[in-house]
Amino acid sequence: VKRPSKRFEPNNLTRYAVPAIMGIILLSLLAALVLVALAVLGLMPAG
Amino acid sequence: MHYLPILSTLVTAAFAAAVFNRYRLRGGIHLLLWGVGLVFYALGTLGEAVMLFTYSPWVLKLWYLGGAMLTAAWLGQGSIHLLVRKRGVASTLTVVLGLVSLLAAGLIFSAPVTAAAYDLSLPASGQYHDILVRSGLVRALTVFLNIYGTLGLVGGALYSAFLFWRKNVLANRMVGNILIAAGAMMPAMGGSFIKAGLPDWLYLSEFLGALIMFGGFIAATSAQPVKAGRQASAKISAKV
Repeated sequence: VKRPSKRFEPNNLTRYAVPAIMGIILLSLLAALVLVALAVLGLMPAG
Repeated sequence: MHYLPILSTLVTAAFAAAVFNRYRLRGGIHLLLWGVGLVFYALGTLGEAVMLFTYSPWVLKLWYLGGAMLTAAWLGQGSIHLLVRKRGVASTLTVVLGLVSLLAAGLIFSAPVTAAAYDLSLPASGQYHDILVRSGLVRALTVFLNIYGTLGLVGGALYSAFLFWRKNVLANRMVGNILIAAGAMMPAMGGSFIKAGLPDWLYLSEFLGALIMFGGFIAATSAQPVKAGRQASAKISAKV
């Protein structure tokens, strides 16, 4: 008995939109880290 | 926007219950740690909800400890437990986080508060600076715990989503992890809203963050209709 496949067929959404969204989230994370670093270094008022 | 913390508390409590229920059914320390992180999240938003109606320095301290210091760190620790496979590393980090959390609780509950009046019509995030006296160690711990937790949670969810995307498997988990990463960024950006002089937006970011992460959790853990493998499909087609 073959195990059921967990694979999905790639389409334009998974090929282009998914990596774009992941990239935006990653950039947001990096931007947040830069803001924190600026605050820690005293270049921006800390909260 | 003023009453959003009440909704956030309900959503987060339901989310925590769902995570603890999955832990009860399937086990996994990561689920337990995520559940603990969500309890801190709910305590933070509950503190905000209580302070819409009445003020107590203990509630303000609980709000700061749960919401500002421990939520992200414990959620991130869950992801670290899930992804770091090297024996003993994740467990050691959990013990360290537990000790640091106890230290943070001691520092916050022994911190003095000023006599400045608390305005119930304003968000706690806009006035806690003037009331709660935070030492340099508390400030440093807050920054460190949030960086650690956000990197663990957002980075872990993005990494998992990337693996599913690269292998073209488990679309529901790929989508679920992207939602968790996006949702986890919301409260992290709420801190930037405070710095930008928009403390009310923290409430919105907390609510959206909890809602989106809960949606991601449901998507990632829902049973997915599976297709038969290619060879199995071919055999079935041949028989038909």
